[in-house]
Amino acid sequence: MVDEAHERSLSTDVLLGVLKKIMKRRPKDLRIIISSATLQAEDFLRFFMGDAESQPKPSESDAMTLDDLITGSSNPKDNAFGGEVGRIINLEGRMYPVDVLYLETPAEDYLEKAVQTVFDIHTKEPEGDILVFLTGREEIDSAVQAISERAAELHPRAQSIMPLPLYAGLSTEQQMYVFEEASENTRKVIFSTNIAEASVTIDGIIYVVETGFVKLRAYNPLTGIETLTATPISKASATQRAGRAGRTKPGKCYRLYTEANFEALEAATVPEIQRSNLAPVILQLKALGIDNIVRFDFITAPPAELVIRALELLYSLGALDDYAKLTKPLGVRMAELAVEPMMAKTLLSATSFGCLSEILTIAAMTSLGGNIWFHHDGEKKRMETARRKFAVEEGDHITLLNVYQAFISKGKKEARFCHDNFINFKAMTRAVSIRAQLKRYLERFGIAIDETLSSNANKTPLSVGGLSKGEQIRRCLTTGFFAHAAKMQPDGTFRNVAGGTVLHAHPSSLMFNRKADWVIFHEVMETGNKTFIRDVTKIEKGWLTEYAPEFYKIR
Amino acid sequence: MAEFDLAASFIPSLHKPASLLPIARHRQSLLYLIETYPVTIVVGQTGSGKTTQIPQYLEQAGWCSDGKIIAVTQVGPFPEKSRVLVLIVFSPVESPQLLLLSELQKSLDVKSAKKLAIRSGSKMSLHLLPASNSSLMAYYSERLLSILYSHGTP
Repeated sequence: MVDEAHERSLSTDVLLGVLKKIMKRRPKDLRIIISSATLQAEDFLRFFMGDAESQPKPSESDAMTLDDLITGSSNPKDNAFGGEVGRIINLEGRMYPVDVLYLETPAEDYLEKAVQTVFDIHTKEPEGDILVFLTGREEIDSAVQAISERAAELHPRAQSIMPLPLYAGLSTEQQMYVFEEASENTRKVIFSTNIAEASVTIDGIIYVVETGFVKLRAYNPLTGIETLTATPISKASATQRAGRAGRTKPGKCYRLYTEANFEALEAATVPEIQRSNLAPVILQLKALGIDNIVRFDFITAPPAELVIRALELLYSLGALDDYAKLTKPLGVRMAELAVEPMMAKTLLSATSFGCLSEILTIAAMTSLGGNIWFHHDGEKKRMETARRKFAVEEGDHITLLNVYQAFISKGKKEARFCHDNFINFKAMTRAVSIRAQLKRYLERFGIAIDETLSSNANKTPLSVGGLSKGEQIRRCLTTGFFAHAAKMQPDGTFRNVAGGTVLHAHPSSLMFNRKADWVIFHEVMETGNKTFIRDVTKIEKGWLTEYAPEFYKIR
Repeated sequence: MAEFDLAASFIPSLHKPASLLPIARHRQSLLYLIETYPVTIVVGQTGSGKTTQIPQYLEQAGWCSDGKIIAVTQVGPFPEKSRVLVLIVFSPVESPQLLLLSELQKSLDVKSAKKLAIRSGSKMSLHLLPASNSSLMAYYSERLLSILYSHGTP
């Protein structure tokens, strides 16, 4: 059973392709169940039916409206569609009609408009909770604050209003608040990211305020940079969002854009497979014995540029040979390691640099996504000071190593250690477990790990045993991350190797206010209109051509 | 790498008794379709009970006997957190896929898995650990399911 398939995540699309292949071989005993919350059911069925049977039907889901949502599968066409292959069954309970309201003129600031609309609903409309779609955590936090502030101006005897956030990264307890009924004479207003569109269902929502944007990841094959940008939603998303108002009784949806804006939206959201770095997926498919990626039956084919770029990278990493076959043992092992290909390569090169133990730690630490430091309001300065204690000239990776080392030798036992150093205990505990997991993988490959970082082996945890070790680590990182190389400019920004993109050191990086020449980085992300690099380490330019001659010849 | 982390996953609003879930009315038609056709597409919102109820219907209807396996991908509500997959295995303890599963299970956060099972109102918590019987519940990403399937199991 493939659950929530409508999200069209990269792994869902791969799984569906693999299942279709297996279904052909085992039509009798394999049963596939696909669950989908939205209107794409026919697309899934058509995919499994193959081309012959499904040709005459154009994609009707594109034109699906709220009314179709309400009528559900009572439509008899569902019974005929599917041939011998399958059927669609609709479990939806009754949907109630939703009034959709548009703006007459576009809003200048949708966040401000959303807060205003919430107050208009609160003061003028009958009972019922409100769900507001925003794009991210910062927007949500500021909206929650704005509501709290303005709520003070309400008449003391008026119904009160309770703003609640909903986004990834909230603790489980915080998440549960949105599902609890508000106390008497209180209206709940939930500010949520896209997760409330289909993945999370909240009872009692009568009003939906819809800003028309969602944050989507998109990978640019030319620059190799993945961005997370607020993007206009699709018609299918807008319909789904509006439908959230009609689950308990008739509701209203306030679209904070004009009807003409709506008409101009794309029919459906571009699936992840068409906007992602495909190197991990292609590596996985190769490991499954699917060599001809171009002819693999994807539900939506990825664009050629993405496939080419991924093959190029995997080849440069040494995972594929001249015939695009998986190399043994390197490529096979990279596919098995549960980290992305560049880090997998780094891990598998580490033995030859004599720094496997250190690289294991760095791999675990970078996988935390920057959640190592933790501070309360007003403590930022003191946190920076604490952080400097672990910093080393070479950059962020070895600094992370120092933090881990200190945590293992002190922090695990003393509760104060993490508190005093503004280190996130939970994140560090996770790093320990990820490290152990990676270590088990390597041991299964028969790779010996000489632990230099156990709690008692090293008495000077804040150094890494001299310069040469540090250099080995940086060289080793270059064998995996050569594609993420950049040169610092006189103004302190960076340019990537292709030259076109201006990169900024993330404020959390040591390179934020230090001088460097060439660097490699773990991660690149676009926030607002700046592109940041995170986890940055100095390297020598010559190492790039030494460890990735093919890659730097291609460019 | 966050593949086995369940800490941030939960199935919201499933506190209703199973018989009141919208899906209960469709039990017979679901089982009929799954029996008859290779592919069944189920359209339903979170909270309709599909994730928790369908595997149980299938188990009760005998889809777990003779070494058959029901595998369900389990998507947390937060796409940034990786997807996990619930795999309920009813097969002889020493079969190869089971060994693979127990190995993976060591890296699971068992406590949050239990919470998840209890909140979802299912009996799955009973199968959580490979006790004396041959039933086991483990968590898998879609990636690992692809691997499991293409190696010819189940």
